[in-house]
Amino acid sequence: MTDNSTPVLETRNLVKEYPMGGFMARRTLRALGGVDVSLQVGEILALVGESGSGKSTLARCVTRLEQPTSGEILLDGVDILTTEKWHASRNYRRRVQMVFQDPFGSLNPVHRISHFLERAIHNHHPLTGSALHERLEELMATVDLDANMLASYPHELSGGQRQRVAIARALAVNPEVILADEPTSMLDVSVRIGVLNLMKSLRDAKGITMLYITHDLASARYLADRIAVMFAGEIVEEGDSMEILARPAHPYTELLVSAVPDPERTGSYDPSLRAKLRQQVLDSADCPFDGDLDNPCSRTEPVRHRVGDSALRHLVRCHLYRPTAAGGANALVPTVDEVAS
Amino acid sequence: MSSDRLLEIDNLTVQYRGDVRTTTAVDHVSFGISPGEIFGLAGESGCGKSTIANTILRLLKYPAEVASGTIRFDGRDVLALNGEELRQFRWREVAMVFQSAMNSLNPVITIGEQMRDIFTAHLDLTRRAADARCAELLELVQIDRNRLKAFPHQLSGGMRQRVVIAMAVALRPRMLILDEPTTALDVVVQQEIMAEIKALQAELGFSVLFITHDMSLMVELSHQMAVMYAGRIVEQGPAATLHRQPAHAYTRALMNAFPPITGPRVPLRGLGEGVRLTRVGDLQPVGHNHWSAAVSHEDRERLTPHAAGSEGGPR
Repeated sequence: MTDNSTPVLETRNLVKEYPMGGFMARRTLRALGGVDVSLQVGEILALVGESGSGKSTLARCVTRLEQPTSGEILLDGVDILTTEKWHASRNYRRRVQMVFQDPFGSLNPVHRISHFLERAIHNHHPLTGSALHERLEELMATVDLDANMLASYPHELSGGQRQRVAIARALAVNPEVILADEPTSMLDVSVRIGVLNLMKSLRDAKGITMLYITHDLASARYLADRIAVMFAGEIVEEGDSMEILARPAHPYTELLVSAVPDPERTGSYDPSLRAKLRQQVLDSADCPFDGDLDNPCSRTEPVRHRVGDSALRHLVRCHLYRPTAAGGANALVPTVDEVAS
Repeated sequence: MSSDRLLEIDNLTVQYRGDVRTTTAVDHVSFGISPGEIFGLAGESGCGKSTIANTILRLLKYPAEVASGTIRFDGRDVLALNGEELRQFRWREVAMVFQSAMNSLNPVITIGEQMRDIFTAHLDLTRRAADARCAELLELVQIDRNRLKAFPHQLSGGMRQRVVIAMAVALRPRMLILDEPTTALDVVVQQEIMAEIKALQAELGFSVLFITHDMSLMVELSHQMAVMYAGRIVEQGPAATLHRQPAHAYTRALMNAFPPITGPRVPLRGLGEGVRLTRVGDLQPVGHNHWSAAVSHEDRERLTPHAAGSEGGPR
């Protein structure tokens, strides 16, 4: 990235490997294979990819719920993996908060809503009496909930309301970065947009930086400034969200875009063709982001190519990518054919 | 509506009776599905979509009851079937893929044993013959036959979903009910599963009642579709027509509840307070084969974009 300002949060070459098999087995599963992500202040970055691509592992490493195998996590330019080697400090936890996927599982059913918010406040900057009460009401107002709900139990709330409580809990400690792991995928269609709009307004009003993890490209496009596409533990393409969806350069991104149901496409809908494309992407053994079975492109270190206009910061990681004169749409496809022929 | 329909639902009303109050989950709903047709039923949670599906298979339990209306399948009155007739009807005539179907497999039994049950219970096949049929069935949904010995947790979400679909088509039913078959899956797997269903439908020729809240997916797949709100159908017609010229404000709102993948990025409103209807009128024809419910005057006032309420507030 060629930005002047220091990113508020950045990962460098982050690797997470899980041991596989039984005791003494040496096999490992590489969930993150050297991920570089950077978040500028007040930016919303969407991390998209299918199940198992390592999106959530990345979020869990950044919130220090998992210990990464190697790499760096920089908060304001300081590598917290060296300064806080084993546990995240309370200060780090205050600055980086997480909102989980399942609002039905992330709120303890035996406590009232006020408990969740009070606890977060109590742990980080204690308030008492009327100051505490004011703060609670303010938080509820921020997420568009009625203050009367503070006395409710989670089961009395709808899914959308619960997710708003989860967001309020994250906000209670005045975080700088919020990681939201599929915050809308468990919610009903009627309230999804509301939660996305809330996240957007928090960024606009409070300047909170967000990492929005999702498999829904359409909502990523709606909410995020930039999109990073993740596949098999690696970022394969990233760029401005409108640009990347208009001109996907990596075959995997193309596949994801083509998988989004689009009513405009009713006539030419051919899912089996797209399923075949997916199989090709997934079956390639050597390179996690290789689009062609017969020509595995992973030989050495993957490289990053700039796509199109450099001002858009649109990058793709693939050996087969060659910028064309047109500098954009499907530049990769002819190149693959060239290699094959 | 003509009588060559495979399934004909007429004026169906289903109520959940309580001591204090009675909730009408399905309110005078009528529609029909022709042989080989994919019929989509859209709407948000709680609008009565799944209740309709359960009523067709006679799965309603106390306190739900059918207050009025008829369901005819191939001319037979489904609501009047007795125990043995019902056993014959379920799965052989109409099969269903349930919501979160991937979790509907028994975790402590191999999938082979679960699939075998269908054949031993309905066709009285021997275990050996049933196992052979199960293996064929798995291959039909492109899963290796060795996986019959696998337990559900050893399969991925998409594979489990395929197993459930294979089980639903095992007896070559004439109609398949899909209740949100892909909600828990990510986009790529969702698209694969839908391709699978389409291919199976082309091969086996069954009708489909497809229930979802994802309008884009539904428009892509369905021939005919209906949009439900609070137990009423607000609009019904060919899927393409509904998408191009939605007549009812609620249909438009539901379509806008998902951000589009193309076009300019515009702020959207959720289906919160802004699009509550006070009452839904009867369906009126608005075009060829296209019906829309009348909107009352005060609803129309509230639903005009500039007069709309807060975005996506709590329901």
